[in-house]
Amino acid sequence: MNFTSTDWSALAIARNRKVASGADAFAQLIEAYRPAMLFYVGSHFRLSVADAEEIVQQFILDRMIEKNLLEQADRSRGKFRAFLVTTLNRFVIDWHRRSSARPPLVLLSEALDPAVESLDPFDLAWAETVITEALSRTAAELEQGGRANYWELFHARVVEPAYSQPMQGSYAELSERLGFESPRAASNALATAKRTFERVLDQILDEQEQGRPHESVVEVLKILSRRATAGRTLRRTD
Amino acid sequence: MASQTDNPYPRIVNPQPLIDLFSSDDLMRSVWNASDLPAMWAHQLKARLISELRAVDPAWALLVDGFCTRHDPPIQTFGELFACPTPPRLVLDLTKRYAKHHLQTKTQLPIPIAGAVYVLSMLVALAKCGESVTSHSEDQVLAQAQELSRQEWIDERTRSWLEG
Repeated sequence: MNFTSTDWSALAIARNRKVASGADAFAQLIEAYRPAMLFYVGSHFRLSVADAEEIVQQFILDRMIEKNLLEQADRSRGKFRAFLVTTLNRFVIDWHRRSSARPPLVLLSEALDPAVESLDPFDLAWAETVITEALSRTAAELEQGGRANYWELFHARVVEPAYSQPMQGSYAELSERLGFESPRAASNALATAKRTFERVLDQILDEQEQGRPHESVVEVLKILSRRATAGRTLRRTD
Repeated sequence: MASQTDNPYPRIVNPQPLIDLFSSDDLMRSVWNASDLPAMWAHQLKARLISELRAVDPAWALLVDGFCTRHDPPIQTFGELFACPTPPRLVLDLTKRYAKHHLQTKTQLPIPIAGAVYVLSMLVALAKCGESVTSHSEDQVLAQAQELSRQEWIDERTRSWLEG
């Protein structure tokens, strides 16, 4: 189980930690959600990495383990990640109240331009995770299908720049090294990789929602785009 | 409590390349850029005629194969076709159709590259075969050749064909 494929049947297994399969599922769930929770707490409440780590560890211990939070998760009331973020919000606020020595919490939304108030860091972490998973599955599928060069071209021209790495290789170098016989062949390879990524991402979203309506690929990407806008706003105001 | 300025977890910091990819079907807008055009054009000139025509219509490849292999010297690439002093008219005609197909059906061949093949096929047929492979007038073909010649990504050898 991972963040991108967590479904309600897996959550049901994780609820019963007294049996080995439940304990394993619970551990995998923690492993899957912990990075998203850290990112969410750190960015939404503008906390240091150390504070975010402390809060999330405490949340896992107090709420998820001691109070068996998963028992309270109810599929009919919406997405699990929405439930988790609501509970986490309450926990952070309580945590802060318990110590008067702590300076006031500054919500990210309060520090942002009104135009980006709708930013939800947990959604951002989720969007990033599903995209990263989709990229990983796209690479595997293309490579297994004998199209490793398609993936390499897509990676060099689309994926690396998204992770802010410099674009790898000129058109001339890439087309020669990857063995494309013409601009048509290179462009067709990119288009195939794009379609594969789109299909795989849609499949991941479908797995999560188990056939219910879900975000489109473009909607997921727009969530990340909002973070890029917010990042620029923060840099302007810092 | 310090403000968090750096996220310790690897993340996508610039989603724009991915967003661009899904905002347009035109890879020339989303992935390729103007600086790629000179290398793309050089690649197109080196590309094998038969393979490219076969990708559009296998029958075209069969037709061209005989003409190109019997020609002295044999014509294998787009560059060799345009540089040939006596290119077969039929091959130029099918090459023009290849380019037109890519221009009209929004395939993945970048439009500037398809456009250049289109113009050169018509121009070379006029200049070297003394025949037209298009319904465009000679003046129209010459005007398109001049326009293409002004593009920065066009190399000197191609420019000499266009202006010669």
